[in-house]
Amino acid sequence: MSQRHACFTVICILVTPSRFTGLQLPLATRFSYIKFMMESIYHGDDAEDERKRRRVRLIILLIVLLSLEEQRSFRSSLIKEGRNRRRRSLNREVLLHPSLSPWMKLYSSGTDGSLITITGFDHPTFQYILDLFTPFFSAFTPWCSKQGGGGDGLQDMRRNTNEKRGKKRMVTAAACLGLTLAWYRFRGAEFVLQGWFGFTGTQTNVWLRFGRRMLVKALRTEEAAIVRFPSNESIEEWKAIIQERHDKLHHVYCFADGLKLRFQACSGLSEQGMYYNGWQHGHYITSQYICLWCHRKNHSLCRQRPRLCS
Amino acid sequence: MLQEAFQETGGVCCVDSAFLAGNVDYLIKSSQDLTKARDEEHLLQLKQATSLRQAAEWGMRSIQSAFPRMKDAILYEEKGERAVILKLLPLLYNIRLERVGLNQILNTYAPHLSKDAGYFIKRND
Repeated sequence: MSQRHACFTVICILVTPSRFTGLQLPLATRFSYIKFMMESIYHGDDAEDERKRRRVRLIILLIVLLSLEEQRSFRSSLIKEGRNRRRRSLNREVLLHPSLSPWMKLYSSGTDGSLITITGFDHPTFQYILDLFTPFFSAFTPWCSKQGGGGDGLQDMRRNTNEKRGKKRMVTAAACLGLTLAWYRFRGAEFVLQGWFGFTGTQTNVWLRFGRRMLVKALRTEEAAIVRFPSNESIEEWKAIIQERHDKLHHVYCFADGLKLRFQACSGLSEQGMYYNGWQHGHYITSQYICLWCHRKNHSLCRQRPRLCS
Repeated sequence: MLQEAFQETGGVCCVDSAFLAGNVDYLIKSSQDLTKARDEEHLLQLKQATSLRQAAEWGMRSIQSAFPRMKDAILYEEKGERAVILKLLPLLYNIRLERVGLNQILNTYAPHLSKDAGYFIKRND
């Protein structure tokens, strides 16, 4: 292969977008390599070479523009006003103060039905969860570096109680718990929650993430919440209750079913079709729940088993 | 666990025909095909198993109605929020069923347990 052919080959590789070649070179480096190769192909002093060099410069400019087009996202191409109009979140000036928010009105009204609608729990139960949640809410902080800490990212979140600097938290434990529980009850855009609780977009995400983690810490050893298999005495009791209603079903004490939780899938149908067999119409995690109950209890035993189908 | 419970107490679990486990002692499978019944006793048992399976559907429905967010597609991630979200789900569900009292299985199979002293006092008034 001549030197000219080799140069052309290198130029073709450099011009090809990086997602096809896997060549992760900065734009400036790529540009200088191309220029060097072009110069080595068309060297000379006559008018013909000069004309070719001018054409080379035009080609390089075109390549640079195409590369820029490839690297710039749609969002970065927008002006500030365009980005503001597409934020899909509420600014601080349009929100109520968290202490005067619709959530506080609902929480302080003492109406059980409305609190069940928003959070799924009545006031006594909410207070019971809040008593478990508050120590963790006070002892930890969501403001921590991502570099430190262990695998689950909770080790470095403990709050320094001796620290006197900074403002006091505007978010109360009840609001943080309410936000966490309301998130499970809402389907839709996050700005609805912002309006309910008086938090801006970033604040909502931070306290939601924090609230979920603290709630897991608070409930994972709690007797009423823990997932466990029932005792032999309970099994005997439930057998009798079921047989009272279904006399031919001897010794039955529980029943089980599966629940499919939808999961993120490939956006392109053709791409998804290349990876999955197409036996199913959904893309989900299969979870198996076993429903049991005793006097005031209904234990659920869950075993989540990721399963990808299309 | 179901097998251990069966060996200790003789208790069996009622499931639908989609479960992969074959003819094992600790499971009763409900079936739509009543022609598979061996005798009259078995036929009645299959019909009642199908009826009992409705309670399992109530249980699944109560999870979905208690946490409508679960109907949304969960974003794919590793070592992220997905594990926390799914871990919290059964914990909250258990507390809700035990303390809030919105439990159709309990209300149907053991209605007397849903009534407290206030119910009987008001009824006598």
